[in-house]
Amino acid sequence: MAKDFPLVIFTLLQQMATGGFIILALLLLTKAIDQNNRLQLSKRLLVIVILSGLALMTSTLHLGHPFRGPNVLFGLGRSWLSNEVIITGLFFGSVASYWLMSWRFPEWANLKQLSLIVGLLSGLAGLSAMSLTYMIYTVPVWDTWHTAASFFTTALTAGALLALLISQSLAGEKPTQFIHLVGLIGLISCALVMAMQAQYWGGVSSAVTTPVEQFPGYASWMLTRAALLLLAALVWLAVLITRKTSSFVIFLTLALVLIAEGMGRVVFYGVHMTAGL
Amino acid sequence: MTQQHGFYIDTEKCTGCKTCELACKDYKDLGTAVNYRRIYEYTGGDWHQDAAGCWIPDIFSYYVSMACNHCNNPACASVCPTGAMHKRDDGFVLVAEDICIGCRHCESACPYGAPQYNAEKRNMTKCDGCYERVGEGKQPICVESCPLRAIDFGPMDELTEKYGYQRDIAPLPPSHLTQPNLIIRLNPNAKSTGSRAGKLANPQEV
Repeated sequence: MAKDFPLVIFTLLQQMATGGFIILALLLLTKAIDQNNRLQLSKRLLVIVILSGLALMTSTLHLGHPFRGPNVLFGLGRSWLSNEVIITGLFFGSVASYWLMSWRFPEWANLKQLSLIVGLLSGLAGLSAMSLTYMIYTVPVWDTWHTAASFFTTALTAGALLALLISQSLAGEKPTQFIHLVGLIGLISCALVMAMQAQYWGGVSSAVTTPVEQFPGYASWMLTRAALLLLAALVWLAVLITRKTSSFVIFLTLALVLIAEGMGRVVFYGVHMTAGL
Repeated sequence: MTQQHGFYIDTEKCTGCKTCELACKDYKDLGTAVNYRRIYEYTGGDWHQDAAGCWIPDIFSYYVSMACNHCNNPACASVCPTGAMHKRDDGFVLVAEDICIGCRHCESACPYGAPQYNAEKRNMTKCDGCYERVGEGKQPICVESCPLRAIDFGPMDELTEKYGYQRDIAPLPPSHLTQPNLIIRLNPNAKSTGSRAGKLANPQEV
């Protein structure tokens, strides 16, 4: 499990950053946010740049030879792991240049628009490539739509909470409601996918092992994750019902979601088994 | 040599003595943590009631010696991000150790446990089918070492003619996944691929 820990952090941070960026990019592209606030918001996307950069750096920690990292270019097109790394790099580059232009050259409107769109598309492609990296035909625990669904729902939930924090006091009422809605749909889907994935894993076995046997403490980890997701949902709903949004409560909800999804990711790597030995 | 080669494993003869594994370790100078060849002990048992109502134990145990099957559709090579893990034109699946970044993705993908991470080298290593010996007309060291003559190696068409085409046995994965260049002689107690009748008796050895 220890060898996969950098990947737990990488996938979580990158999914959160991607989800947050996609939601904010949509709001920026559709001009749903006041023009006066748009520039300020785009400067705050530095948070996404930092998170994605941290994610990429963490991912190299699981390599035996991090300095040979550029060799992943050789697998472009053929290997989904290569595609994932390269597309994620493209995402990072687009978001970073968007932020840089917003900060230094806000008058470069067309280039900014282009980097926003490339960032949006490479974000979606990156999440897909990340899913396909694990959907290996010899690994029945991962080779299922649940893998992709769990990655995308993490991105949606954690991304929406991150987007709320970043766009605090800038987004206006309607866009903020939209982000809340996206996030809550994400959180409910997260829990549903978790349940369906657990059911799917229950039916997987090889001649020597089952997913549950692969990960000691499977049941308690899954239950704790479910409880944390439920708690996050309750806090979130309380915020919406009482209409008392504060950065602190959103941050608390995000922390609960990240711990829950982090536990889910530890289980995901922990139950790894192939169709054979 | 451009013919696809493969291994033949006789699970009826094999006693699980592990001479093949140790001969390989000696020849390839491997430590205790890296095993190019591994012996899987598949064992189980049940009780059956005979016609007279008497309960009789029905236990089994057999060994499957596994290295790399130099598959026609190698999962390790297909997921490798650098191309370090590759299938050569002559059919051997090798890892270019100076290109490998040690991400261990091939290890996650191979259903035979062939790619072995070497923590000292910090990259993947694996059975190379002793291709250099084979090029000199010799057999791989594991084949030559087997005191029971339970392992054979050669061009796949010759092996198939000699031994048939059985490739599926528990605890190996279904052969259609990666199309291993492997032929198995079934032990009389052999269970089918994916069987839940037995368990791996020596998980710490493999």
